Parts: sequence; structure tokens; C-alpha cells
Amino acid sequence: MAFNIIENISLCRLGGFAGSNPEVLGSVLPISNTEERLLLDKALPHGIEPGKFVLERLNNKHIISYVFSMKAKEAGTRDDLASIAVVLPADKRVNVESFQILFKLVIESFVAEIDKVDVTKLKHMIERIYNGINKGEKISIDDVNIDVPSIVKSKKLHLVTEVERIAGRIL
Amino acid sequence: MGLFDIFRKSTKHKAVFLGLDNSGKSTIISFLQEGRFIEHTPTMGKKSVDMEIGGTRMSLFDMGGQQDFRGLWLGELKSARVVTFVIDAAAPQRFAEAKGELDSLLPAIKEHKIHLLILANKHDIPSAVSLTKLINELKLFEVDNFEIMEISAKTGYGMADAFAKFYSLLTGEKVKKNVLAKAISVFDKGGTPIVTTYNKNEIERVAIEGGFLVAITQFSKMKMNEDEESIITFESEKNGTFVVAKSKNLIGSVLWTTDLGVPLEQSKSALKEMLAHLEANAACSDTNSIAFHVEHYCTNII
Repeated sequence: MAFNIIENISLCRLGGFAGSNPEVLGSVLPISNTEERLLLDKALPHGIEPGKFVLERLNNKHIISYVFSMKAKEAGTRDDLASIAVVLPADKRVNVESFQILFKLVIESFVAEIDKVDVTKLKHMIERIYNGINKGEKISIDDVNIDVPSIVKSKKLHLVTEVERIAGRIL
Repeated sequence: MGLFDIFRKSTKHKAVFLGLDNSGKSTIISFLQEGRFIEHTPTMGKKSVDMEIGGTRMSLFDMGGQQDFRGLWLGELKSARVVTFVIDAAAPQRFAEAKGELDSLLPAIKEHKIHLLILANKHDIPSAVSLTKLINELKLFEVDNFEIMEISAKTGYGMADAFAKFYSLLTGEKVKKNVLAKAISVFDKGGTPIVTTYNKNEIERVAIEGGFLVAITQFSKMKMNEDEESIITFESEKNGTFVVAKSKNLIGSVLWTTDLGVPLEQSKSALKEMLAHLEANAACSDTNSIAFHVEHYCTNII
């Protein structure tokens, strides 16, 4: 059951250390510097607090993010503000409400981990979420396993709406 | 607008908090709201907090200090009454950067007749520089009109005085902080005295009087349910009213007298807030840490 719905997933951060600025730490698939700037404005909106889910629109894309605090590397430094942001096409094919439910369930399964792990692990995590949802496979991170197809089935989520084929009807 | 909204209309005073990233702006604002230290992640862009004190409505704009967000500062500053510029007094390597940013704001501050309050934060860190040194390093003597105060939004040092000054600048009303107690004492959970302070310059490791100590010891042995208010008062003919409260690891007391001119309830609340602050921030097994935190926090009470 492949969904191929996520165009991009990124790990964004505003560091807690002195001299930081908003940055994209990693992306699947890669994005340009210009796209990074646009994404950061949506994935970490002004005034956002850790623990929030955000849905934003940018041109013909939906951007769904989960914002969290990321443990500082050095003791005595405040935590970073970070987000995992997913970019979806904003077309009729994509049911963004259903995707939000799935994304929330996936993230909530890993919330305890997300607050503890380092950047390297978070980069692996976004890659597995990308593959798990797009390919409709199990997402396994440490001891947590999420069976995406089972969630989609049990919650009756319609991530992708089949667009009616109109070829031949007009004539 | 509804028919009667004109009667409800009241002025909302606006203040902006500016300063380099990691200087402590959000921590100061949350201390003003909660009366205790809360650690924050960095502020993305800007956020505003509304507060109402004594019928005065205030909008506090917490502006992100990162380079990317400094372009937003001037836009918010122009409609503000007070600019609070926060400096990390323990980061001398960033003083030149802070001075550069402050200098770039000064023409607009002057043009719009905005009050400037500079807060030298992180006084709790041993490497924090003195106000005199900070004034010299940042050449603040060249600035026309400003107020400067030394604070720690982590330990609470000087926060009540700073807020009184901030409130006066914002509203034009002359206020000074309330003195809520004549003395503060903190004991460990077994009732052994750790620190007693009579004013902010005098910290002694002594208790106040014998009968009071007996009451503390008895109080320490009382078992209380979590939902039960663990606070008692102890009348002393000689001194006044001792309010004693218990937290998880500590017992605290304040000496309240009628001549303080504040309600007893206010002193009780201050004691509870202080204990919550100590539990969250002091190492409760380390008497030096508790004494240090009491010394700083009591500047808001005594």
C-alpha cells in the first residue's frame, strides 16, 4: 500500500546557543537554499511553542509540522526549538485532514524519544517516517514500531483520493 | 464595536523587550507572570504576552534576539512606550554586538520619546560584570536618558524592583515594590534552620527565636495530604505573625506585621512562590545553594 504523498520531510531548528539562527538540519529529499528559507517561515512560525502541531500553506503545498524542544548538546545551554516538517502537494488528490491524523499518531508514538535523541538520530527518524508513510511500511525506531497500513485501515483514513478519470466522458 | 464598548475601552500600554539572543528576555517576561524561573527555548520571531495589573493592561512584546529577527525590532518599537533592552552581563564577549544593536535603536527611541530601561541580566553568574563596568564597556554614559538595573531572572534577584521601575515608566504612575515581610527563614524538611534574612544585605545562619523554632519542628513532623494547604500562622507577641509553609523538601517562614501595610494573604502567596522557586531551582540538599537562592529571591520580598 504505497501512498507516495510526502514530497519532502525536513528537520528544522532554532538553536538555543548564542549566535544561532533558524536552519534546516536535514531533508529528505534535498531542497534548495531558497526553499529552505520559505520552509523555515512555515515550519517554525513566529511565537510558536514546543509541543504544537502546525498546518500552513505555501503556494501549492501544505506544510505540516510538529514543534518540539531538542536537548542542548552542552550542559548549561538552553534547549533548541526544533520541528519536523512535512511538505505535501495541495491538490485534490491529497486529503490533508487524514494525513494530519496519521502524522499526529506517528509523532505521538515517538514523542518520548524525540525529546531525548540527538540530531543524527532525528535525521534517521525523518528518513524512516518519509519511507514508512510513502511506501506504506512499518516505521521502526528503537523499540517503537508503527504499522502505517494498519493505522490507515483501522482509522479509515483516506490519504489519497482517487481523482475521477474523465477521459472519454466529455465526448 | 458594541454600543457600550466605549465605556470598556481602556488603554493598553505596549512595551518591547529587545536584546541579543540568549540574553534572557523570555525568562524575564515569564518571571513577571509567574513569579519564578522558567527555562525557555529560543523565541521564534516574536510573541506577545498580555498582562493586567491593577486594571492596567499591558502588552509585552518579546522579540527574538537572533540576527535574522533583529529587522523586526524597529517596526514594533515605534508604537511602544517602553523599550526594555536586556544584556547578558556574564557575556562580555558579546558586549560590542549588544552595543551596536542598542546604538542602532537610539535614534528611533529618541524620535518617538520612548523610555529606555536596560536590564543587566544573569547577575547570579559569578562572571557577571558590575553595573559600573557595563556602563563603561557599552559607553552608556553617551546615551541621553535611560534607567539601568541589575537582575537575575533565574534566581529572582532584583526582579521586583525592576518591575516597579518598568511599571512606572510604562504607566507614568510612581510605584515601588511592596515589602511583604520583615524577615524570611528557610529550614530543611526536618526543621533545621538553613538561612534567615532580615534585609537583602544581611544573611545570617540563625533562627529568630526559641518558641518559633519549636513550632517549626512540630510543623515539620506534621503529615499532610497533597491537597491540604500546608501553611500555618504562628502569633508572636514580641515580633508579629510568622507564616510558615511547607514544600516537598523545605520549610519557609516569613515574619509579617501590620505596619508593612500589605495584606497577610499577599505575604502568604509570596512565601509559597518562593518555596516553589527554591524547589525548582536550588539544590535542596545543598545548604549553600539554598542560602544563595534565598539571598537573591528575598530581594523581591524584603
